[in-house]
Amino acid sequence: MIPQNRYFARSGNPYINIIHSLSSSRITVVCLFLLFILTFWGTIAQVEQGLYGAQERFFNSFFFLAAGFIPFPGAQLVLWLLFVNLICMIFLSWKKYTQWAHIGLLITHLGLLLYFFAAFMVFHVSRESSVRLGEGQSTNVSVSDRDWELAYWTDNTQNRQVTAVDAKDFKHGFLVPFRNKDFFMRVSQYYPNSDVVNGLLTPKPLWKEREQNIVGGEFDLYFDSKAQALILFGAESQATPVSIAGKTYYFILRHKSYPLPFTIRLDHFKAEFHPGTDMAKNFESSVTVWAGPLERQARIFMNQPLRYKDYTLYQASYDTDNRGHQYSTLAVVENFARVLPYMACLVVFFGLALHFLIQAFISKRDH
Amino acid sequence: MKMLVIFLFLFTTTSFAQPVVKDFNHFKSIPVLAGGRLKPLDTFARSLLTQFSGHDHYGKQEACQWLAALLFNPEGTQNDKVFLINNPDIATALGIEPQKDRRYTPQELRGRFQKLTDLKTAIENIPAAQRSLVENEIIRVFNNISLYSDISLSFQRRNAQSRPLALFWDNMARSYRQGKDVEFNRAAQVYSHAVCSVLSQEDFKKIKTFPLELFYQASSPFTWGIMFYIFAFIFFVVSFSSVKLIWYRLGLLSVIAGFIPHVLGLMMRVIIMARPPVASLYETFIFVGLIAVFLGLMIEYYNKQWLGIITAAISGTVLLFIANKYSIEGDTLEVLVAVLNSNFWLATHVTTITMGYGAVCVAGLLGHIWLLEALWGRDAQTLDKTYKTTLGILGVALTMTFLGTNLGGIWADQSWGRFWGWDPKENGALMLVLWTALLFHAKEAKIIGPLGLAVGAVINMMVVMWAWFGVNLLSVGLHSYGFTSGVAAYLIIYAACELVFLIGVSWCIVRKKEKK
Repeated sequence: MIPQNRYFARSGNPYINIIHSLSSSRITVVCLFLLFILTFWGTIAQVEQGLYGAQERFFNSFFFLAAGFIPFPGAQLVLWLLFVNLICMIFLSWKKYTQWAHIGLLITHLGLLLYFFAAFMVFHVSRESSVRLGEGQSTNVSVSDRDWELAYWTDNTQNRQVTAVDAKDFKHGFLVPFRNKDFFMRVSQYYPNSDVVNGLLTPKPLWKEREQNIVGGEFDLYFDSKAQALILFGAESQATPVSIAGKTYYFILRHKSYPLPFTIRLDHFKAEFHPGTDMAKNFESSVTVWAGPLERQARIFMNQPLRYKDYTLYQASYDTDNRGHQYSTLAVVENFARVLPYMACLVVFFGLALHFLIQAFISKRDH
Repeated sequence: MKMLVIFLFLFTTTSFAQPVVKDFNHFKSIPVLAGGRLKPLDTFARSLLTQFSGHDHYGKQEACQWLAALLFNPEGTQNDKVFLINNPDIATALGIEPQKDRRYTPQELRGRFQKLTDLKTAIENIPAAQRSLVENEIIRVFNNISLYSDISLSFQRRNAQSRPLALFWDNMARSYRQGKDVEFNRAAQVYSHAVCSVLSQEDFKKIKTFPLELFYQASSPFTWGIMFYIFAFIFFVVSFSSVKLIWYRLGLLSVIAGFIPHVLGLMMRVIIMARPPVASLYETFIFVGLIAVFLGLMIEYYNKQWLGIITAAISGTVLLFIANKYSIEGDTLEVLVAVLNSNFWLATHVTTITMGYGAVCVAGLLGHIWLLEALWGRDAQTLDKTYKTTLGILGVALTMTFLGTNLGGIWADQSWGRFWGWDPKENGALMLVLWTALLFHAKEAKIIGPLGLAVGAVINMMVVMWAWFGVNLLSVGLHSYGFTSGVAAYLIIYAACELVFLIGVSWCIVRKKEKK
């Protein structure tokens, strides 16, 4: 889009030529168009496939099959292409960009580079989980809403040592990588969604919303030169005890748990409604957070999260059990890159505003 | 002698007619709690009557006057045609003769209440998302009739030991039935004072904005806005017949005259609700309209050739008209759900993204104008002016939609814990940013020229419609609170018309060029 810099004009140098081809603004246009189509398609598809399914298929993928057989680029591939295109373009037209009339464009595109970096970081480092607490309860573990793990422990006490393996790779024949001398374990069957029907673990079709799925699996446990079948269902709250080598091992299939570097206690929860309606005005959790001897009191409500190191705790929802006790659910997000998109956004906006103001000024002057 | 007879006749008829209350000033400002908000009774009456009949008055009666009749003399409203039933089939199904004006009396419907209840019970078994328009309409009619009868009975069901406030209310009812203006107003005033005395400090502050709210309701600023914008358009049409400067000046003056009540109306809403101007779908129409008119005036300031006046007049009229249609759903001064209840983010994210919507709409209109000018064979200079203006407005659109989308991301990060979640509303805004950026890059790469840009700007307007209401129709995601039914058909018709227009006009322009 910007005239070529004469120092990097197309020449015999094949690298420079490749950079030239990659910096083409036709690539930009095609990529923007593909992204536009993908965004539209991925929105419509949410009705059928749910948010998670559509997100995996259209946005997190490099390729997917349209209508079952036509390969179509996913948003991740398109974004990588745009990123390369952007870098090549900035590299080639640096000279032109640093002129005053185009300084806004330079800032915008540098901001976009930062944006790509921010997106990459957030996509790979952020982790979502949640804690659900009744008044007076405390915890130092947060639980994933969607991811599952297979865990075991030997002493069934409060301060037990837990060993766990992510269940995402489980399939028939998979050797569960527990490093334990007493036993080894192989996956016999694994169902991403299941239910217990007439006492039998039965697979079920997947829900659109991934949080609703309850995993279940049949495992073969090998110890003392014998094999034992173990059936675990994700909805069970109690671990299944098995005697191995004179010790009792407790096995459970549960939502993935993450230790928190602090303990949080729910002191008080309140839900406020607009007077005379059942329309929520505010939900608020008063909590105490401590790590070591230092305690901190905080209120978490809508649009007012609690920040603690790289963790942010948000008021997500609440529920009431059949005895009338209220439970508050706080979303826990660990993300050390969270300020990056904020910065990128500001830089790009500043660049755009500057560019269009300069253009308006120039056209007024020429007028 | 003749005179005497007439005089006597007049004297006897007036003296024997039932006296009626005519002054409702104090009655109007009685505080009531409805829809989660303390409001003057006048607002309640208007939204109630609008909900029933689609109008905020009944014949020559003001809403408050009609509500007084319903409360104090329900029998007197039995033959008022206040129930709007949009679909004549429903009337037929209930065994009533369908009316041309689609409005029916409580008397007519009372006899069919059992039938209506049966229909409603059957419909309630259908999940809400699967109900048809007619089924929703039946539920609406049923709810309205129930509400009507609840209100008409509200002061008859009371038991003897109810609160002392009710005594004041009885005074009001008595003086109303006797037609004593002064007593009625005094009773209303005493009742208001009594209600105010039990209010908290915070609620009492809200009472202070009542005079403003009454003025807002009575003055209907947006209707004035529409009127003047229509005038501006008429002056534009007239200017074709004679090139006199007077039409131009009148056109510009009309846009400004429409802009003033438009701004004032929005400002009054801000003061009344103590929150930023845009929080509900209704308010987006008003605000986007305002931004579009403002941009139109800016365009006119630079380019004094009707371009800004036309865009301002069209966008102002259309958007305020849609807003007007929306206000049928009841009181437009609504309270907000918890997640929206943040003045900071409403003021930043929502206003910027709607400014972006406004700019995209104006650029789209300019795109239409460029296409029509090209079709008409206007000179190159005029075309170039429109083209450059479109580019400038698209620049504003890109900047504002980008900022608005990202501020939305930051808000989402603050309240839901993630910057971006591919939610349909987020995607809609992203599509706007992508399409606008695409237009600029395609123009720089010389893939498109002025014709392509004009077509692209028009398509952008379709994208804005998608982002604005289309995604809400999917009823998935976190933004589905603005859901409205029945919009889908209009959206499809709009998109179809736009496509036919684009294809037809572009084809003609290309043919014309080839011939040259």
